[in-house]
Amino acid sequence: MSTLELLLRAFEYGFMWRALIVGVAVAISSATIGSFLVLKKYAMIGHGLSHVAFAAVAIGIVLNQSPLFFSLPIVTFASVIVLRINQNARIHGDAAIGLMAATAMALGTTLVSTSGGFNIDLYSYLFGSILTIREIDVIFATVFSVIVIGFVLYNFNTLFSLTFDESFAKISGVNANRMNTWLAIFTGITVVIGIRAIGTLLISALIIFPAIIALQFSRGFKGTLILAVIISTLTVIGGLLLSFILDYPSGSTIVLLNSGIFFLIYIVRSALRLQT
Amino acid sequence: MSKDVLVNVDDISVKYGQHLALSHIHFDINQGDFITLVGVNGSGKTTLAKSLLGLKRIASGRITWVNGQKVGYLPQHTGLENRHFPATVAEVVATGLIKDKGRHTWFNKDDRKRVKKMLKLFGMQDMAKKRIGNLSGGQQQRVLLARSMVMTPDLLILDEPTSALDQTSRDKFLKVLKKLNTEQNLTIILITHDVASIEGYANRVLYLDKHLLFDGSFKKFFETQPFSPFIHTHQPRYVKEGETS
Ligand SMILES: Nc1ncnc2c1ncn2[C@@H]1O[C@H](COP(=O)(O)OP(=O)(O)OP(=O)(O)O)[C@@H](O)[C@H]1O
Ligand SMILES: [Mg+2]
Repeated sequence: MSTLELLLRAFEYGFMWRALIVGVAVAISSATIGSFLVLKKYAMIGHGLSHVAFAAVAIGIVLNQSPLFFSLPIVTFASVIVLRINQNARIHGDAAIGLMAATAMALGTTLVSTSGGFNIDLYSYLFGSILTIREIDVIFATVFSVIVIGFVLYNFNTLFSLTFDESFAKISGVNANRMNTWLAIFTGITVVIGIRAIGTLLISALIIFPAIIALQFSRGFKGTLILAVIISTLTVIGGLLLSFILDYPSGSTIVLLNSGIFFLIYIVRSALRLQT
Repeated sequence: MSKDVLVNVDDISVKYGQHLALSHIHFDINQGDFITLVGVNGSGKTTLAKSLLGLKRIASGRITWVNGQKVGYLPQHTGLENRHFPATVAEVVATGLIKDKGRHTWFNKDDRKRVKKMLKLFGMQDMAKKRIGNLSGGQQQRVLLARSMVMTPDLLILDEPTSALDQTSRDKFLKVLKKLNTEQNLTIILITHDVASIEGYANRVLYLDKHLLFDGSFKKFFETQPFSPFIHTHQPRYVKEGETS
């Protein structure tokens, strides 16, 4: 069968459609929320949370609970706590995230080993597996991404002001604490809905890469945000289809696609700079 | 008595942990004042500005604002932490409109016009679409000034606004301020190290060194604080110029 036939074949499967819908929803949320996190220098929060999500999924599996519903409150709560720690000047935020990530990872692997070690089920949570996406995931992801888009559109100027200069935003009447808490909650939820398609360990890449790539091109804030969403959506769709054709884990394929684009741009730019 | 009080600062003290940065400060800001706030490094000028703005919690005392004042603020350190922050000059200036337009509105054509007008006032009209990180320090400072002014504030608090401006820009800027002060009754607090350069523009000096040491006119300031206030060769004492002197 030719690649094209295989590609067309992909759309005949219900699971592929579910994966694409969830993927696009995750792509939009993670790119938007990720842009704010990267610009606020909170990018590592996503990384820390992905480890917490791994531990939470492991606990869920051990307790025979639905890992996603189990991890949703845990990851969201952790997100809010980490943000608080980051804002507290007395503790080094990056160190705190490092500690949290390692502790969560250790907890997760210990639990996994006591319950018979890594199996297919856990593996799919780690790196994403589109076969596991159910209807309820589709509904949840779609509703959530609409909420994120609505939130960002409703608060666009406020969010920009806050990201650019928190003090000035405060004297403009912006409740910085409340907005940051919302951002943390949305970050937590984004990580969890990304688990199915991207995997706990790779979702942080989808929070960081689109923003970083968009930053290479756009001078303004609005442009960066829009470009990040476009890049994120295209790489997720492309990655999902590639993973179907090549039979690779979906999360890994999506992340590698992002890395590839980033380094390509980097190399081209460096080459152009050398020429002039 | 005829003057309208804009802000009443009543016996405030401010601390950083155990360190007392401001001690029992007491003064009024009147509508139309052009105040210059002076003092040595670490004397608490920035802390006082932040306390007025509600960015720093006061340990004791009370700050009372007349309702509904719009306050513009130019922070001391305007240098961008992140030169690659994706924000155009126009986008940054427009954030000054949030106070006016509310937190949930999108900017319209009129707003964009206001932004343009403000950029023109500061000679930055050609830079509207540039990324702010690509501007020089002085240019960035002017952009942030425009951000504070675009909201048509009632009170403007400027923390060393002229430190990054060249001589020409500084004179022009002070003239613009003076004009706004006299013609539109804009109240201004300008923090500076360079008292001499501001004489002729400001009409009231506040001299701070943890305590408020002087509050009055330039004339009286130079009379009662004969040594440079920035060299501690004398024992400063509090002087408040009488209403009639
Ligand atoms: N964030 C902070 N944490 C701890 N102490 C601080 C902090 N900011 C200021 N201080 C202390 O408070 C005092 C007043 O500082 P402030 O920045 O208000 O001085 P300033 O008059 O603005 O000085 P400068 O002329 O250098 O700008 C100083 O002793 C300073 O060390
Ligand atoms: Mg200062």
